[in-house]
Amino acid sequence: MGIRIQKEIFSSEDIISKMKESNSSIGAVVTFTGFVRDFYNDKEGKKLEQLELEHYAGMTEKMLQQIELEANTRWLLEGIEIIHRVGVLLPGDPIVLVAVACKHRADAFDACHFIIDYLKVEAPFWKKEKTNIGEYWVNNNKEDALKKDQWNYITKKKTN
Amino acid sequence: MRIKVLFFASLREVFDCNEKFIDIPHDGTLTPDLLLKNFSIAEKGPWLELLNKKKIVRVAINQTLVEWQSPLNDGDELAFLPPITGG
Repeated sequence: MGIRIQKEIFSSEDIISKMKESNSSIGAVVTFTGFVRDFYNDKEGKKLEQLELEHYAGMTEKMLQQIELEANTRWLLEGIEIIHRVGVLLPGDPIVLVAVACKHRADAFDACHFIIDYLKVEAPFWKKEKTNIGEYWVNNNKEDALKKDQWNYITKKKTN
Repeated sequence: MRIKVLFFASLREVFDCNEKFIDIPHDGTLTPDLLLKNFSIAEKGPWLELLNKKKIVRVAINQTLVEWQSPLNDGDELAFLPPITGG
Protein backbone atom coordinates (compact mmCIF):
# COMPACT_ATOMS: atom_id res chain seq x y z
CA MET A 1 0.00 0.00 0.00
CA GLY A 2 1.25 3.44 -0.75
CA ILE A 3 0.13 7.00 -0.27
CA ARG A 4 2.10 9.76 -1.88
CA ILE A 5 1.53 13.51 -1.84
CA GLN A 6 3.95 15.01 -4.32
CA LYS A 7 4.68 17.96 -6.60
CA GLU A 8 6.15 15.79 -9.34
CA ILE A 9 4.21 14.31 -12.23
CA PHE A 10 3.53 10.54 -12.12
CA SER A 11 3.14 7.72 -14.61
CA SER A 12 0.17 5.40 -14.18
CA GLU A 13 1.92 2.75 -16.29
CA ASP A 14 4.93 2.68 -13.92
CA ILE A 15 2.67 2.33 -10.88
CA ILE A 16 0.70 -0.56 -12.44
CA SER A 17 3.92 -2.35 -13.51
CA LYS A 18 5.37 -2.08 -10.00
CA MET A 19 2.17 -3.34 -8.39
CA LYS A 20 2.13 -6.35 -10.72
CA GLU A 21 5.82 -7.15 -10.27
CA SER A 22 5.46 -7.27 -6.50
CA ASN A 23 2.51 -9.67 -6.40
CA SER A 24 1.87 -12.53 -8.82
CA SER A 25 -1.67 -13.23 -7.55
CA ILE A 26 -2.94 -9.92 -9.00
CA GLY A 27 -5.48 -10.56 -11.73
CA ALA A 28 -6.91 -7.08 -12.14
CA VAL A 29 -5.82 -3.49 -11.61
CA VAL A 30 -8.38 -0.70 -11.86
CA THR A 31 -7.11 2.86 -11.93
CA PHE A 32 -8.74 6.26 -11.73
CA THR A 33 -6.75 9.25 -12.95
CA GLY A 34 -8.00 12.80 -12.47
CA PHE A 35 -6.66 15.55 -14.77
CA VAL A 36 -6.70 19.35 -14.75
CA ARG A 37 -9.54 20.19 -17.13
CA ASP A 38 -8.53 22.73 -19.75
CA PHE A 39 -11.53 25.02 -19.95
CA TYR A 40 -12.45 28.06 -21.96
CA ASN A 41 -15.65 29.87 -21.06
CA ASP A 42 -16.93 31.76 -24.14
CA LYS A 43 -19.39 33.98 -22.26
CA GLU A 44 -16.80 35.29 -19.84
CA GLY A 45 -13.80 34.86 -22.12
CA LYS A 46 -12.29 32.91 -19.24
CA LYS A 47 -9.34 30.60 -19.77
CA LEU A 48 -7.59 28.46 -17.17
CA GLU A 49 -3.88 29.18 -16.89
CA GLN A 50 -2.84 27.34 -13.73
CA LEU A 51 -4.29 25.25 -10.96
CA GLU A 52 -2.82 25.56 -7.48
CA LEU A 53 -3.31 22.72 -5.03
CA GLU A 54 -2.94 23.21 -1.30
CA HIS A 55 -3.23 20.52 1.39
CA TYR A 56 -3.15 20.01 5.15
CA ALA A 57 0.11 18.08 5.49
CA GLY A 58 -0.20 15.28 8.02
CA MET A 59 -3.97 15.20 8.12
CA THR A 60 -4.15 14.40 4.41
CA GLU A 61 -2.01 11.29 4.82
CA LYS A 62 -3.99 10.30 7.91
CA MET A 63 -7.34 10.59 6.11
CA LEU A 64 -6.09 8.65 3.08
CA GLN A 65 -4.78 5.89 5.36
CA GLN A 66 -8.21 5.64 6.99
CA ILE A 67 -9.86 5.41 3.57
CA GLU A 68 -7.41 2.66 2.53
CA LEU A 69 -8.11 0.81 5.74
CA GLU A 70 -11.86 1.01 5.21
CA ALA A 71 -11.49 -0.23 1.61
CA ASN A 72 -9.47 -3.17 2.91
CA THR A 73 -12.18 -4.12 5.38
CA ARG A 74 -14.81 -4.06 2.61
CA TRP A 75 -12.96 -5.91 -0.13
CA LEU A 76 -10.16 -8.44 -0.47
CA LEU A 77 -7.49 -6.34 -2.11
CA GLU A 78 -3.96 -7.15 -3.23
CA GLY A 79 -2.75 -3.57 -3.21
CA ILE A 80 -3.72 0.12 -3.23
CA GLU A 81 -1.69 3.06 -4.52
CA ILE A 82 -2.86 6.64 -4.08
CA ILE A 83 -0.91 9.56 -5.52
CA HIS A 84 -2.13 13.15 -5.20
CA ARG A 85 -0.21 16.13 -6.52
CA VAL A 86 0.11 19.53 -4.84
CA GLY A 87 1.60 22.83 -5.94
CA VAL A 88 1.25 24.42 -9.36
CA LEU A 89 -0.37 22.31 -12.10
CA LEU A 90 -1.09 23.12 -15.73
CA PRO A 91 -4.15 22.29 -17.87
CA GLY A 92 -3.97 18.64 -18.93
CA ASP A 93 -1.72 17.62 -16.02
CA PRO A 94 -2.65 14.56 -13.97
CA ILE A 95 -3.73 15.47 -10.42
CA VAL A 96 -4.64 12.22 -8.74
CA LEU A 97 -4.21 8.50 -9.24
CA VAL A 98 -6.03 5.72 -7.42
CA ALA A 99 -4.88 2.22 -8.40
CA VAL A 100 -6.44 -0.88 -6.87
CA ALA A 101 -5.14 -4.39 -7.45
CA CYS A 102 -7.23 -7.53 -6.82
CA LYS A 103 -7.50 -11.15 -7.83
CA HIS A 104 -10.69 -10.38 -9.78
CA ARG A 105 -12.13 -7.29 -11.46
CA ALA A 106 -15.38 -6.71 -9.52
CA ASP A 107 -13.70 -5.84 -6.23
CA ALA A 108 -11.10 -3.70 -7.99
CA PHE A 109 -13.80 -1.59 -9.72
CA ASP A 110 -15.82 -1.12 -6.53
CA ALA A 111 -12.85 -0.36 -4.27
CA CYS A 112 -11.37 2.18 -6.71
CA HIS A 113 -14.74 3.93 -6.99
CA PHE A 114 -15.13 3.91 -3.20
CA ILE A 115 -11.65 5.38 -2.60
CA ILE A 116 -12.02 8.29 -5.04
CA ASP A 117 -15.52 9.10 -3.70
CA TYR A 118 -14.15 9.29 -0.15
CA LEU A 119 -10.98 11.14 -1.14
CA LYS A 120 -13.08 13.87 -2.80
CA VAL A 121 -14.93 14.62 0.44
CA GLU A 122 -12.54 13.74 3.27
CA ALA A 123 -8.96 14.39 2.18
CA PRO A 124 -8.11 18.03 2.92
CA PHE A 125 -7.02 19.42 -0.47
CA TRP A 126 -8.03 22.76 -1.93
CA LYS A 127 -7.91 23.93 -5.54
CA LYS A 128 -7.39 27.48 -6.71
CA GLU A 129 -7.98 28.27 -10.36
CA LYS A 130 -5.86 30.98 -11.90
CA THR A 131 -7.41 32.33 -15.09
CA ASN A 132 -6.72 35.19 -17.48
CA ILE A 133 -9.44 37.22 -15.73
CA GLY A 134 -8.65 36.45 -12.10
CA GLU A 135 -8.07 33.73 -9.54
CA TYR A 136 -10.44 32.08 -7.10
CA TRP A 137 -10.87 29.06 -4.83
CA VAL A 138 -12.92 26.31 -6.43
CA ASN A 139 -16.35 25.58 -4.92
CA ASN A 140 -17.01 22.05 -3.84
CA ASN A 141 -19.51 19.93 -5.70
CA LYS A 142 -22.49 19.24 -3.44
CA GLU A 143 -23.10 15.92 -5.18
CA ASP A 144 -19.73 14.61 -4.01
CA ALA A 145 -20.98 14.29 -0.43
CA LEU A 146 -24.03 12.35 -1.63
CA LYS A 147 -21.87 10.03 -3.70
CA LYS A 148 -19.74 9.31 -0.65
CA ASP A 149 -22.78 8.74 1.57
CA GLN A 150 -24.24 6.19 -0.86
CA TRP A 151 -21.49 3.79 0.22
CA ASN A 152 -23.04 3.71 3.71
CA TYR A 153 -26.01 1.87 2.26
CA ILE A 154 -23.97 -0.72 0.46
CA THR A 155 -23.46 -3.76 2.61
CA LYS A 156 -19.87 -4.45 3.51
CA LYS A 157 -18.75 -7.49 1.65
CA LYS A 158 -15.79 -9.71 1.03
CA THR A 159 -16.40 -11.92 -1.96
CA ASN A 160 -13.38 -14.15 -2.45
CA MET B 1 -5.15 27.07 27.66
CA ARG B 2 -3.00 27.31 24.54
CA ILE B 3 -4.43 26.29 21.16
CA LYS B 4 -2.62 26.20 17.84
CA VAL B 5 -5.06 27.35 15.16
CA LEU B 6 -4.51 26.58 11.48
CA PHE B 7 -6.11 28.28 8.49
CA PHE B 8 -6.22 26.83 4.99
CA ALA B 9 -6.96 28.02 1.45
CA SER B 10 -9.55 30.85 1.40
CA LEU B 11 -9.44 31.15 5.21
CA ARG B 12 -5.64 31.47 5.15
CA GLU B 13 -6.13 34.46 2.86
CA VAL B 14 -8.88 35.95 5.04
CA PHE B 15 -6.68 35.73 8.15
CA ASP B 16 -3.52 36.50 6.19
CA CYS B 17 -1.67 33.75 8.06
CA ASN B 18 -1.27 29.95 8.14
CA GLU B 19 -1.35 29.52 11.88
CA LYS B 20 -1.52 31.36 15.15
CA PHE B 21 -1.22 30.42 18.81
CA ILE B 22 -4.14 31.50 20.94
CA ASP B 23 -4.03 31.78 24.72
CA ILE B 24 -7.43 31.56 26.35
CA PRO B 25 -8.25 31.72 30.05
CA HIS B 26 -9.46 28.24 30.96
CA ASP B 27 -12.91 28.08 32.52
CA GLY B 28 -15.23 25.21 31.68
CA THR B 29 -15.19 23.33 28.40
CA LEU B 30 -13.87 25.14 25.36
CA THR B 31 -15.11 24.07 21.93
CA PRO B 32 -14.33 25.34 18.40
CA ASP B 33 -17.87 26.76 18.44
CA LEU B 34 -17.24 28.77 21.64
CA LEU B 35 -13.79 29.85 20.53
CA LEU B 36 -15.21 31.23 17.28
CA LYS B 37 -18.07 32.99 19.10
CA ASN B 38 -15.70 34.64 21.56
CA PHE B 39 -13.24 35.81 18.96
CA SER B 40 -15.86 37.07 16.55
CA ILE B 41 -17.17 39.30 19.35
CA ALA B 42 -13.80 40.35 20.77
CA GLU B 43 -11.72 40.70 17.63
CA LYS B 44 -14.25 40.89 14.79
CA GLY B 45 -12.47 41.22 11.39
CA PRO B 46 -11.56 37.84 9.91
CA TRP B 47 -13.25 36.00 12.82
CA LEU B 48 -16.58 37.56 11.89
CA GLU B 49 -16.02 36.49 8.30
CA LEU B 50 -15.31 32.95 9.50
CA LEU B 51 -18.49 33.02 11.60
CA ASN B 52 -20.47 33.96 8.49
CA LYS B 53 -19.02 30.95 6.66
CA LYS B 54 -19.48 28.57 9.57
CA LYS B 55 -22.09 26.44 7.81
CA ILE B 56 -19.65 25.42 5.08
CA VAL B 57 -16.50 25.25 7.22
CA ARG B 58 -15.48 22.01 8.93
CA VAL B 59 -13.20 21.69 11.93
CA ALA B 60 -10.44 19.25 12.77
CA ILE B 61 -8.81 18.77 16.15
CA ASN B 62 -5.37 17.14 16.07
CA GLN B 63 -5.93 16.23 12.40
CA THR B 64 -9.26 14.45 12.96
CA LEU B 65 -12.59 15.79 11.65
CA VAL B 66 -14.81 16.65 14.63
CA GLU B 67 -18.04 18.46 15.47
CA TRP B 68 -18.08 22.16 16.33
CA GLN B 69 -19.15 21.14 19.86
CA SER B 70 -16.17 18.84 20.50
CA PRO B 71 -14.00 19.73 23.49
CA LEU B 72 -10.61 21.38 23.08
CA ASN B 73 -7.68 20.63 25.36
CA ASP B 74 -4.51 22.52 26.16
CA GLY B 75 -1.98 22.12 23.36
CA ASP B 76 -4.51 20.99 20.75
CA GLU B 77 -4.16 21.77 17.07
CA LEU B 78 -7.41 23.21 15.74
CA ALA B 79 -7.86 23.59 11.98
CA PHE B 80 -10.62 25.44 10.14
CA LEU B 81 -11.22 23.74 6.79
CA PRO B 82 -13.08 25.47 3.97
CA PRO B 83 -14.96 23.18 1.53
CA ILE B 84 -12.60 20.44 0.37
CA THR B 85 -11.93 20.30 -3.38
CA GLY B 86 -9.26 17.67 -4.05
CA GLY B 87 -9.17 14.87 -6.53
